[in-house]
Amino acid sequence: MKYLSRPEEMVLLTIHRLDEEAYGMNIRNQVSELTGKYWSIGSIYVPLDRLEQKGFVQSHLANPTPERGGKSKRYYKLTEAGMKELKEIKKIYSAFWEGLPDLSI
Amino acid sequence: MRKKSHIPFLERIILHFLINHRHPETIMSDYDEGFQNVLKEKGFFRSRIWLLTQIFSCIPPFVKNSFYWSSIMFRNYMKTALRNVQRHRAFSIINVSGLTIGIACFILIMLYVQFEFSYDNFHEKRDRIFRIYMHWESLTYMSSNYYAVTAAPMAPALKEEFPEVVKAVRIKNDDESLISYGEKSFYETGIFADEDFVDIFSFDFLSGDINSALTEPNSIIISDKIASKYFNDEEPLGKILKYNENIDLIVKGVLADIPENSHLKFEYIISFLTLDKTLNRTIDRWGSQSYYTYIELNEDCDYKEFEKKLPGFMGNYKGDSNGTMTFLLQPLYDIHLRSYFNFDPAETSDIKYIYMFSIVAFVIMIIACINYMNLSTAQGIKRTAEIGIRKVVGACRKQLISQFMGETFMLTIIAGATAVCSVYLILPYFNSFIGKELMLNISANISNVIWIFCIILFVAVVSGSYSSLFLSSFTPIKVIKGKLKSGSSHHRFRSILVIFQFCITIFLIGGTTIVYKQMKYIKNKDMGFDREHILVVPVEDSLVKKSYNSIKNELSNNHNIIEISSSGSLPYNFTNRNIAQFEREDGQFSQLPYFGGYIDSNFINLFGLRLTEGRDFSLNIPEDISKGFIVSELLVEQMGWEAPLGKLVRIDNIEGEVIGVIRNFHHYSLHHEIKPVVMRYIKRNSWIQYISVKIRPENIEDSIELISNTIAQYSLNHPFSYFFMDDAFNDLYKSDQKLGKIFRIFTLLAILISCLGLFGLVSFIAEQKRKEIGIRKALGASAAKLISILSVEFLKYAVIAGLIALPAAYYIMNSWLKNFTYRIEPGIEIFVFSAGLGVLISMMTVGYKSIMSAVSNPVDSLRDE
Repeated sequence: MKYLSRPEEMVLLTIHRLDEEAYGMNIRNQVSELTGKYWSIGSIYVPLDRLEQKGFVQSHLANPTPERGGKSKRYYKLTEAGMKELKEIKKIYSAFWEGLPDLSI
Repeated sequence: MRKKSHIPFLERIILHFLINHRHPETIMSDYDEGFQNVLKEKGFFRSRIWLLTQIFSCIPPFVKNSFYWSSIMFRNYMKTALRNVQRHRAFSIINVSGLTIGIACFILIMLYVQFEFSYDNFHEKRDRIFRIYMHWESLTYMSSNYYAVTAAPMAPALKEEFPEVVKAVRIKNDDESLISYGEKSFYETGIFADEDFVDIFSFDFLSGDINSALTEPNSIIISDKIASKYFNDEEPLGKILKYNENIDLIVKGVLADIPENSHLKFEYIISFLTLDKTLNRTIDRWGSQSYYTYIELNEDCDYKEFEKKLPGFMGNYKGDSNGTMTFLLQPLYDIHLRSYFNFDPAETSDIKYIYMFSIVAFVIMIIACINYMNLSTAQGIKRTAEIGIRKVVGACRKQLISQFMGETFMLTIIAGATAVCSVYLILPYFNSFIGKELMLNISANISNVIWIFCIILFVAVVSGSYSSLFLSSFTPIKVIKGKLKSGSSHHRFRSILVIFQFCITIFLIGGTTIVYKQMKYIKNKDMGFDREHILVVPVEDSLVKKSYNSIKNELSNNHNIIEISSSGSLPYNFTNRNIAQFEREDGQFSQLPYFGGYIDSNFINLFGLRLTEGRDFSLNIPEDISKGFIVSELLVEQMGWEAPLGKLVRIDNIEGEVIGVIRNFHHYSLHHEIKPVVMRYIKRNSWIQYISVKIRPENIEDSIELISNTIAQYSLNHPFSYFFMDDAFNDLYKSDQKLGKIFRIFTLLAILISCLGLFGLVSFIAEQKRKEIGIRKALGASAAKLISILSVEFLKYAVIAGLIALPAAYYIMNSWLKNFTYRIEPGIEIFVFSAGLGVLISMMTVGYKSIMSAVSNPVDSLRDE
């Protein structure tokens, strides 16, 4: 299987974490916060699109809201495959970390 | 309130443009939200900065998306294009060389046109400078009644009368005057001009005071060219030049050499006051029209309005009683291309020729484009597999079109670059050929680069559009199954292109043939006088004129010299028009205009003019010399004389008899009609303008040397100059001959290009039909039959094209022939000839390939499958 890139992994995780609230702006804020780095809106959409193409996430339009100038949000949700992929990632990383001393010491 | 919190319009557009996403609206709404948040929390200013950072961060992915991927595709296109070029090397060479020739021709002709249009453009006040010309209703001279000349008092009077006239200058041409400095003397050509000259025209002043240079009599401004000739490295300012051996002129200024594209051509300017004060010419007569008047008008003065005031003004001044002269204004920039006046100071061109050449240039380029279209579509059919695969893996039509256009563009760029290089190489020859100094200056002139690039772009678009549209229209399924046949609509289009090409070729052949025939007709036409082996010495030196008799005696002794004569005109330039009284049959006198000249008793014999009645001037009969007249047959006819001999003629207070009648001869170029001619005896040696010497065709060099030495004995440091009668005569048709030459060359090139295309096309067809031909041959078809399969179609095209092109050629060339009073009648044979030639050339091109494929062994074409 093909591995995801770091940004893709991060975005995938963020969508999972945000659950119902996962739409572009939110995802970006969350990612920025967690990584402590600046993410432009456009740069979030690159991994998002790829994830969608690979079938790990699905998107749908919500009803328009007034604070977005009457435009609707596009919400993202993990698919089955996305869920499986996350588990896989977790499994792999924990396998790699297994038995290693904590780096912060 | 909410409205204000939105992303401003401009930024919204930019973002929209930069975002490359399937759902741009989604992202835009994210931006909206982000923007609002920042606006709420951090205020207006910070929100703007936020927006800007967002925009900038979008740029790198945008660049990557739009250029990186397309450059990957581009590399693929390049690779296929280059492979294609390599695989069909001959085709590509034919294609590129056709385009190269086409573009090179176009650039050359455009340079020429550009040069012609650049005449007098260097004058700063060019839009405000006008020349006064004259329409003399009742006087037609040399088939025009417009005159470039006016009277001398015109300029000052205009300046005084009208406030609109800022400056005015009179110019008098001064041909062939002897200018000497110490030992050095040369004949130079210059002008006399008023002091306003330097203000009106912007010739470059190298040294001297521009404002005072022409204000005093006996001042001269010289060109840099003659300054270095006379003074070498000495400072010319303040030096004294001798003018015609008796007048001292002070050099007051030096001009940079007169630009090639000035209609005024001169090497020196002498102050106008010199004419008045030193040479004692009367310059206040309104009746004598021999000066050019140029005026500079106010900036806000409409010259058409001003023109209307002229008749009234003339009435006041001149008291012009008969009112047949009208004075008009001609803008400076019209002088070179749009004047058909008598006595124009310089050789002018004609806007018609410019149009004609532009059309030829354009046509040649179109031929080259058609070649490309034909060849690339024909050849492109071989690439159907590639096109099909591309389509199957997802190329859209737009991409295919841009691929083929790109290929065309690449080849056109190569062709264009080659063309520019070859223009550089050819230009010196082209210049000496047409007698101009054209320059292709790419580094200095950015507009040249732009228009050459435009040409290349144009050629690429025209020649690439059809093949790319056509090739990209294939349906992949048909293509890959191999069901594609060149559709009939495509076939029809291609035949139209070929016919069009044939049309142009045949038209050009026809046109060139007619020009050539007319030129030959002129060369060989019996002008009524001889012009072979006659050497003419134009005489300016008064000493030579005085001692003509001694010169004649000395030269006559030499056996190389057959005859020698002195005269005021030569047979081809009896251009002095006058009016005289001739006695009618009923004894009354009537007036008749005639062209006159002074000749001596050897003239008629020397030039082979034939007397039909009466006798030549005889030195033994004093009346002949003082008041004898020899008239031409036309005059006899116009007067209705039955017995012309002894009829009285009154010219300039002299009454004399007609003593002889000569056969009509062309006393000017064939552009003009023959008019009555009257010859008188050259009574005074000072009237001599030319000494003509008929020499034996052997030892021409010796004869020239002898004549030169003999005349030099009698001349004080006058340079010896001479010309041959036939050369001078040919000069009369210089511009026509130039036209003919240029026409010939470009016709040749056009034919060459279309042959290239034809050759390419026929070899393509031959290759496509290789198997068919092989099978036919194996089954017993004869070679002749096979050749006809390949060439009969082209023959058909050529015939159709001939039928279209020849009437057009007839019509257009006839209107050119109308410029000549004496001309050939283009008969059917010329057209048959040019059509035949066109067909022959195309058949030869087609024939080679068809014969080659017809005689080839069928085994070669059939063995592999």
